[in-house]
Amino acid sequence: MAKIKGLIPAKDITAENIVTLLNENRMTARIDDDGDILANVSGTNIIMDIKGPLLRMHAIWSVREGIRRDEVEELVAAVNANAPLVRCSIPKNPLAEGEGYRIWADYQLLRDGDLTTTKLLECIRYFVRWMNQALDEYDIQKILG
Amino acid sequence: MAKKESVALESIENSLLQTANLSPAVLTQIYTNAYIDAAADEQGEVSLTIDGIIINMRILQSEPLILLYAFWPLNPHVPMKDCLKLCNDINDHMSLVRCSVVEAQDDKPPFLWVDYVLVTKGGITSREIVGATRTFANAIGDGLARFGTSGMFAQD
Repeated sequence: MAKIKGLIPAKDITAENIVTLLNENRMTARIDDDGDILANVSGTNIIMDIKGPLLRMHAIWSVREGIRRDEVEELVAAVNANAPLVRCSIPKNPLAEGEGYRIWADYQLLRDGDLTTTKLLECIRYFVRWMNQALDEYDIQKILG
Repeated sequence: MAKKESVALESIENSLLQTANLSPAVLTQIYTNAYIDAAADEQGEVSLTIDGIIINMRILQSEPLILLYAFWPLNPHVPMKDCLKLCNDINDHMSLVRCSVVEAQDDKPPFLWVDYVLVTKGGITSREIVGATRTFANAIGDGLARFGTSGMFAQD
């Protein structure tokens, strides 16, 4: 595949092209069986997918057993109120019996406005940087399993 | 109008806008081109209304970002856990928007705050700015309707 650079039209913002772009920029990335992109950015694993007009990136963590929901809510709320860009939530999807809470961190951008390769890479880097910063600054790391 | 700004205004229709060329005047022009009335205030904030939702935006100086936000004063008698539940429901289910509670300070009531940031590093198209703004407004409208805010806002 030709090197991807410049403005990428929405129709070319595909999982395959994103993997190629990430690999060209020294990031490990592959497409899994579900069509999601599994990427490693500076040592941090994130998952990306394309849904309709959106390019979505996220990470998910399990909270240590015994941590109360209100404790998790408080930390998630602090990130959403103070950290740049990163959105955190406690997913409602049912968990297996006995499992604790999870924290979902994500950022989404529209692909149908066309994107530059630089912008796409910067969005991913910003997401990872600020997500890791939020983990440290808001003590989330302490409650993870 | 400064020369740099005038150049930007002439070329925003189809081109890629770089961070240095973004200004409240350029943003206002982008929305005008998309048939959305927008106005910039003296503080450099741009505001517009879509489907009754007032959206404000600010070009951040510290990072190459545009912040879109909307807010509503909360009824101070609503328990915080109910406010946080609404935020989590919106953050868990809706696209783009990030919802949080700004706690009461001095004589100001608590606020429900909804925001989204557009990264402008590497350039941004006017299509992305307008598309993100419309999606932002729709997600707020849908989220508030879906998860219910009866009695939550100060003016209810």
